[in-house]
Amino acid sequence: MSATAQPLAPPMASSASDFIRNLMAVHGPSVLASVTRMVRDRALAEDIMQETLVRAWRNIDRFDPDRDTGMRSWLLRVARNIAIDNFRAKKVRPVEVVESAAQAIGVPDPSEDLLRVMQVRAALGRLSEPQRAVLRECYFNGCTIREAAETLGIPVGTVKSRLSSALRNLRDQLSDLVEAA
Amino acid sequence: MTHDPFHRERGLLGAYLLGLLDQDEAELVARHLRRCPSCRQEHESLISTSELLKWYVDKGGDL
Repeated sequence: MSATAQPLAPPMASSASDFIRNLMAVHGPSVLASVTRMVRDRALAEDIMQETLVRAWRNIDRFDPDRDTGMRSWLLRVARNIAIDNFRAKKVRPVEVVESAAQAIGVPDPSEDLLRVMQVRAALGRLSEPQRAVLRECYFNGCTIREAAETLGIPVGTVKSRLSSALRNLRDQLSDLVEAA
Repeated sequence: MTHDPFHRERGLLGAYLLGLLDQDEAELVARHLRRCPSCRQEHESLISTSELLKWYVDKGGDL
């Protein structure tokens, strides 16, 4: 066998670091912000971010570089899974004293919180786009109903009725969560 | 005071619960709820969902 093939390691390593640097530049800030909000621990969020980028590199074949939004949501999904695994791992650690103290003062289990956040997010994702649009404008972006109507090019009354149908839709989807709350 | 047979206020419940109505319209809904049991029931069934949504936003949830 002739040794014509180039050694794989150096080019791979170099493109891996390029790839990760590029990913970090494009998606890092928003993914890190989202993970930090989720785990409320900047250092932990950075660890999760790092692991996310490593997994992204390992799954580079699955990425279409022309579809950045797909990549961003993929990164977020991976980051959330890592965060949940992290919470679960923490729960098996022997921290009975701390846990019972937390229970005594009614501190909610953080992994329960995270799961609930994900369930609400999934329910929002299943709304129709018109329902999601009015919620996004009025509730998440803080616009008035009139501003939302102008932005979306629909009558004020339609914004109001869609807000109601969005809320009813969420109620029906999240009945388990809502009853448990 | 005329009673709206079509419960126009029911369509305002989402905006009402999310705190998006102006004061006049919110008062209109509140008045209607005091005298309409079926809309009151609908309102009550949506309260915990609107609270869940507020909680979600407080947790940094996005859309």
